[in-house]
Amino acid sequence: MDGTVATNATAETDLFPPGPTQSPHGPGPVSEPWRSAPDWWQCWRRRGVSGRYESSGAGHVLSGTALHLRIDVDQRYNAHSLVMNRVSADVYDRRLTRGDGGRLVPVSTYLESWIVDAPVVSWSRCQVEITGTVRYWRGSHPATTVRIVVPWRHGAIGPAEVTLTPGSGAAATYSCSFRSDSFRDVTLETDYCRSINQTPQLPTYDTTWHATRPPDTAQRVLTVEEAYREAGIGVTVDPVHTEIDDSAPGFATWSPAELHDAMEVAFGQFPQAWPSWNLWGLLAGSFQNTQVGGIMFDAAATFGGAGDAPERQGFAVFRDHTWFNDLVPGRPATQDQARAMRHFLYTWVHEAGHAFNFLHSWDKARPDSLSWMNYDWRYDERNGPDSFWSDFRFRFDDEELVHLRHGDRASVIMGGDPWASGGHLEAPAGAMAETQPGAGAELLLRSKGYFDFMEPVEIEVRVRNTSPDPIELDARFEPEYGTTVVYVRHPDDRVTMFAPVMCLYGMPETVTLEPLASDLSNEGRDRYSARLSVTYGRRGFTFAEPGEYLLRVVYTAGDLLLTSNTMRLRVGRPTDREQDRFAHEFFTPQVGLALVLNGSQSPFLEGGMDRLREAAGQFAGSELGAKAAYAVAHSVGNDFYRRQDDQLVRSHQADPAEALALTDAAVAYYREEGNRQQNLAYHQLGRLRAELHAQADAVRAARDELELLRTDLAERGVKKPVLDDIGAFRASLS
Amino acid sequence: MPILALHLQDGFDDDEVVVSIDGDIFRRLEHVTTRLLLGYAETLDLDVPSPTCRLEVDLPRRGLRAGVDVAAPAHVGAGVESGHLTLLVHDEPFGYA
Repeated sequence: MDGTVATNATAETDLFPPGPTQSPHGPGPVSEPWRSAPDWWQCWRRRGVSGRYESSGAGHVLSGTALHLRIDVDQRYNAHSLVMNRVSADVYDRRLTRGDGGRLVPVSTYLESWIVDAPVVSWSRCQVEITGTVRYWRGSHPATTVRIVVPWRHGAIGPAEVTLTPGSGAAATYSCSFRSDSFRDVTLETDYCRSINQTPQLPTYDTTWHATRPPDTAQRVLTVEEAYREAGIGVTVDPVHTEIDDSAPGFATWSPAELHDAMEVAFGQFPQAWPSWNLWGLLAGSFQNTQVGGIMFDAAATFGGAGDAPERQGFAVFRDHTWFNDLVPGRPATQDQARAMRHFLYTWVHEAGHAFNFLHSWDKARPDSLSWMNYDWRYDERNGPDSFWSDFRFRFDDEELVHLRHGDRASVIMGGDPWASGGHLEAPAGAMAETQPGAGAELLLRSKGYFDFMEPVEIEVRVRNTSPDPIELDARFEPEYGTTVVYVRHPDDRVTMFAPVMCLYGMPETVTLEPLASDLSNEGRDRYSARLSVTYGRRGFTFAEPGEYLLRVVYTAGDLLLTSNTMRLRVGRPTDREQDRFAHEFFTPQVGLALVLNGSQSPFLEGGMDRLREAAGQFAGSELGAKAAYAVAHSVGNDFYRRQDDQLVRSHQADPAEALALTDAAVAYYREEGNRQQNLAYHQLGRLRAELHAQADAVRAARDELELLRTDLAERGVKKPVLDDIGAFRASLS
Repeated sequence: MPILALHLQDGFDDDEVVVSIDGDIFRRLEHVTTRLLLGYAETLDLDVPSPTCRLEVDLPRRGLRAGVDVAAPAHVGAGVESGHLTLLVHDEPFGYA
């Protein structure tokens, strides 16, 4: 090759001295001296090499490791689409899974992502070589280097040959075909409320319409798609728009919860597995605070969102905000009309930016950033009147562009990491594995968002069949069986894998999940829920520190590999000195083991049981009290045998009356709270109490207990199969 | 009476906020927290006795205090940044997104 020059992230226009004049795309159509080469036309190139490449395209390699590669070393779209000089990739595992009827179905599982921060780029006449050090976003890996060669010939780019060399290990090679000049693709579904459903529903802004702009602003027409295309993201606006009837009497403004609920109903992609590259945008009338022109409502309640995981799936723009009073369809006749359309565009792009996990500029210590994510008035306060729009070039800032294009996939993709959770942290290998569409099932992790200090933490995992066929799974979800791995990121940013106290072995307990019927008649039989206690493990109490935790679950059994959403929960602080003092006695191995064992009459755990009794009494009317009472009652209500003189003797006789008395306050608490997130705990306690009544020969009381439980759970939206199961248990008591 | 819109914006974290007009305590709020999604906590529409007045905002638990002379109607943004409480007067309403 001739004319090879190595650079460390430099502009491509410097790369060919003293060669021909360069196009922005590198060695494109050229004159002398290259034309003098006999085959000069073979290396003619019409566009840059930057964009997305993929290995193992469907129909080729159906199993193994696949790479989605993003090369960002030269101009890829237009002059406003800046080069970030990065290379990044997502790594996928592809395997064949036996589906219904024995047919083999390819399923992709996302494994991890990496980035090359400072690639060395060597341009030649017919290829570019890119080398660098790979930085994995999460997990520990040997020092790894990458070499990428992208050839072009007869106008076609690639395929890119990618060689990853981990330390002294064997190199892995991938052949990646050029897919798109967008680094990532997102589908945006936009729906409109009836009250404001009039053109323009979406923004179209000519950059020269408003006079306040940088003097050298290039004329171009920006839409949401175009703004993101320049940023490197291919946004496709779904042509189908649902009209949401907001004409109900008395309804005037939207709350975050109402917006989330509307999304669940209207968003066509909502029922699918998350995370995914899908986003919902609603054009609505007014927010509950009419000063708000738009909101990405799908975030934690403490941040002002709806507080319903997974997050970052949807946003809203409020057409009745004063910003948009002068909005008109087509070309504006006045500067006020131009300003309204400019702000309409800004709001759509800004809110979608939050869904890509952007904070505001000032919250990233960049208050002077000329970005879609800044506020104009905040910038103006620091830099002078009208300075934002005088200087703004309709773009995200460089750090944001790197995040959008090359950021850790989980922190960018909708439904991935919770909003504002950061997330570029070390984690055990496998922690970020992620099921792709086509897996046939969805694994949802959820719990309430806030736990009191010392409160035992239980999480709910729910598998839902999203395929057209029945699927079978092993219902033993407890980490003790090894089917489920729970990853926990702690407030101090450590990421650990929850290690249960016990390891259990047994035969799979197979359950069949039906495909959901189109008339929803079998809703409930398409899913299976289990409650996992992750309070105490081999490393001690998992949630002993107040603060924010992130959790993620990976389930593997047979051919099935499912990964959950990332869930955020917060553990509160001690409310007073007494609670702080009690914590010292609570966070002990004896209490932890007693909780894991659901109480124990072993004298070795007597101290732990005493603390749980104390907690049940002292914190009655709270989750801590209720869960402590459950553990104590569970053991009090059962016989306990222990070895004495080489013989098993009953050392504790079941006392159902005492056990019932112990849980009176707990059951009253669950009934009064009426919280859906307590359904599983309430269900568990109600069943225990029914069993205790039956044990005490009080069958009528047992049946009454179950009837009340069934009625309460029905009111809280629990699905029919669960209610039927309670009914069957009730009927069995006679 | 003229209206003064006081916007409590960035940097509030479960704060007690005391608002005074011309030296008299006008409003006292508890648990004021900025919603990170919007960079905004809440707005107080204050009916001030005269068009020109001295507005003071106090965060007693943090020992922060700031004041500004303002002519109503006006919009005042209050925020906490780098340990300082600042008040900025705006002609136009603030917007959040």
